[in-house]
Amino acid sequence: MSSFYFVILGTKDNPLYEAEFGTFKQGGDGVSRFREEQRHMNQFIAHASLDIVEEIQWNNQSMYLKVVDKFYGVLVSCFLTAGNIKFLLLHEVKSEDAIRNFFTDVYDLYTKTLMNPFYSVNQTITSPIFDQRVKQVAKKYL
Amino acid sequence: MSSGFHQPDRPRSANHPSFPQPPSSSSSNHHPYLRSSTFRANSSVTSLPNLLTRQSTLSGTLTANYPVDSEHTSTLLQHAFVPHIAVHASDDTNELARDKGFEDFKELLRPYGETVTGKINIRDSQGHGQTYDDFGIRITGMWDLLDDGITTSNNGPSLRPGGGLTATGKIPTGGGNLDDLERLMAYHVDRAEETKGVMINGEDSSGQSMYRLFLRRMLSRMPVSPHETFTHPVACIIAISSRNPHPIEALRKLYDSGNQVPIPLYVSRDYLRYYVLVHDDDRDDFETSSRLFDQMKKHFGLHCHLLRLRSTQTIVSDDGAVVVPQCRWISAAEELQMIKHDDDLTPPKCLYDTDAVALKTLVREMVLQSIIPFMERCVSTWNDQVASKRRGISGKFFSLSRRYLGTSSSSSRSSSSSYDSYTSSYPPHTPEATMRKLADYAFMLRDFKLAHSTYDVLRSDYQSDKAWKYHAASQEMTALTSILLSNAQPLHHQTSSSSKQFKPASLEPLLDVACYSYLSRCRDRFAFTRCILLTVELLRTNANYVDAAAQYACRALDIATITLPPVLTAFVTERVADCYAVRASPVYSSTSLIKSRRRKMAMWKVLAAEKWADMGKRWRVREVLEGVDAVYGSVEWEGLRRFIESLRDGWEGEAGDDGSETVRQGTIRASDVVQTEEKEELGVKKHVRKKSSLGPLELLDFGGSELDLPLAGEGSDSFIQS
Repeated sequence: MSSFYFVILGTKDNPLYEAEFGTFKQGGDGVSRFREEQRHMNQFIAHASLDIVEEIQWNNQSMYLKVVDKFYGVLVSCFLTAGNIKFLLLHEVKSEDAIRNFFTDVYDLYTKTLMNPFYSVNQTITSPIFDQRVKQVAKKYL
Repeated sequence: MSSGFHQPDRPRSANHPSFPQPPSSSSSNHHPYLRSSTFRANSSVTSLPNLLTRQSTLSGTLTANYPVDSEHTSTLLQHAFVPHIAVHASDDTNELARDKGFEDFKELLRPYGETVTGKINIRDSQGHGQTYDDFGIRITGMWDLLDDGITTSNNGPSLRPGGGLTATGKIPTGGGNLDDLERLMAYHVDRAEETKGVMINGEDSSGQSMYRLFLRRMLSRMPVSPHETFTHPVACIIAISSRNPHPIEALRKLYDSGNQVPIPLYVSRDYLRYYVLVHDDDRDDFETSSRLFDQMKKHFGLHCHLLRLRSTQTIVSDDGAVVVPQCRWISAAEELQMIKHDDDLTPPKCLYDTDAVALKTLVREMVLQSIIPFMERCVSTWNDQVASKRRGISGKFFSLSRRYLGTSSSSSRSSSSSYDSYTSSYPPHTPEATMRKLADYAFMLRDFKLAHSTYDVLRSDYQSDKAWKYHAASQEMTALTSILLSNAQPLHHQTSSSSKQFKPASLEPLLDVACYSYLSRCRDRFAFTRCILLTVELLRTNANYVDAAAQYACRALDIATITLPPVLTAFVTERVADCYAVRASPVYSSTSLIKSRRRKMAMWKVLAAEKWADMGKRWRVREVLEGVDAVYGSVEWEGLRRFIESLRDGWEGEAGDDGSETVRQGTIRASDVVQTEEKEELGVKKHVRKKSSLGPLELLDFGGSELDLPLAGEGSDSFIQS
């Protein structure tokens, strides 16, 4: 059962939003199955993959950078927004299209958050509605 | 396949490499016939820009802005794979060495063999001379060949059993044993824990230098094995002393007994014989020795040497006494034994100044006048007579026809192949074994181009014979030589888009097969580890290949559970971080900007710290984490920081007993504090965990976060109960 770790990183490598969820496909219940030691590693893996993101973002036209990095069994997919905010998704199975759709929808949600006058760039996203919607998107595609 | 075909420029010599023959026993015993040598020392004086200087200037320009011990890594292989010289000394010579306080004559000579003083000129297969000033040899005993030898059995080579005694009834001291390495490195780590990184006897206990030590120990006294000939003797020193009443007779006997030493069958006995007469300056008359030496010279030609030594033992306080240098290339087992017997009471071994100079001169003259010319001659002869047939168009036809014959019928297959699958080795005189020897000699003479092309040809031969270990070894060396060649190329060649440009990706198939063969087919953990770690070291010297280097190091870790013991695993993990540290800051090359890898470096440092923390090595944790704050200190990511704090907590808990340590921590603290309340909050949590007194604020925090989980647990429990 594959699990996902999703993080939105600000321009200063600071996390704006973090979430863990499992797959809903193949009878999954949407609960992540990360082991405890894997859990903190996820953050380090995501952070370290920024090195690679920064390198390939200049050679790539699209916002969806696909799988940028891998660490043993964990793949890191990246989506770069126009404002240099990075969406990183750690996953175990390769499925480019589903992740593309997921990122596009989350980008939509993020843009809406950005339009909130009480929200400024690089601020942590604490809205439960946002959280709920991201999980819904995850349920839809992952 | 034949891309690097080098026909030597020098005239084709019809001479085989010739070896001084034994004094035949049929000839008169009083005047034995000692065949004079046909060798002439040919020392070329051509001075092309030498490979090494080019390499160092290259790495100088490229690696100017980040710390690499490139000088070490680029020459590591060249210092590790050097000709081995066996020593076969008469009893009276060993006795003389014992009088001087050494175990035997070999031990007396060994420290001086490691570096040959002065410059050495070596001709490559094209006839160009190159000068090196860091050439060395290894001195081994004749019987060590037997002890270090891998016994071959039907089921492929098996390593010698760990605790058992060797064939000669000694405790095994050879290298090539990962468990010994593990024990040694664990000892060094523990000692660094005790001394808290304070330098003792000038030994640096930082992670990098410990890793360097590990690499050197790994490459010392590698086992004598059929699939590579680096450890096979190139020459044998036959030594007698002036104490011997019948010197010529003794030489003849030594020659015979040297031939009868049951060295493994796959080791060729066609090595050079070098005769040494040790003159005892304190006891014997120099006139007699000199006369004897003239007689020897008449018979053996250049391959003899008169060594004048004083036989009395020397102590430090004596006039003109010098301390014998420590052997740098000793195996892990040997160092462990030294540590076991190490008490400060044993004074360092000393020699008279004149003796040390005499030993150095012996080594230098032997290498310069006998060994190098001998190896050059071997390389050119084998290149002409064996290798050239296999390269070029006819060689391709030959291997093709062989391959098709091989598949058509099994009987013709076995007849065409000279591979002995029973002992899983090639007999030393078969073309395959000779070519491997040619390639190894070329490698040791630092003619990497010839070595590379020869290894490349060999690969396909071994594969069709299903000689897996040979195949893996040739794959490994093909990969290593191709990196060495690319590192030696000037920078503008690397960036130009020539078709022959080296790419780390081209190593992939080579190393994949090599690793698979080593691990699965041959079950040789040591060979696998060596192969991977050497690749990592070589790739690491070039900033462009850092990613590939780290990737290979990860591969070693990937299967670490079956290959590497825990301490070595932690060291290799640290090494991955070191690989990325090469690119800790961005590199500006002519074509593009290469981004930094500092976050990757930091992550691997944390991983290594975690491994050390699991083993309770707090000093290592601290040292590894020192470089991390620069990266994570400025990141406002609580999860990352909290984990690093928890690693650090492990050693901070016990740091209080040492005043100096707390001071040190204070400096670390001060340096990385950029943070605000978040940091304080973490500090508070730490105090809670350490069960110190609780202030009101701490209590609040305690209730807020730390007790969250237990409460929830209780709640669910009661829920279930109700």
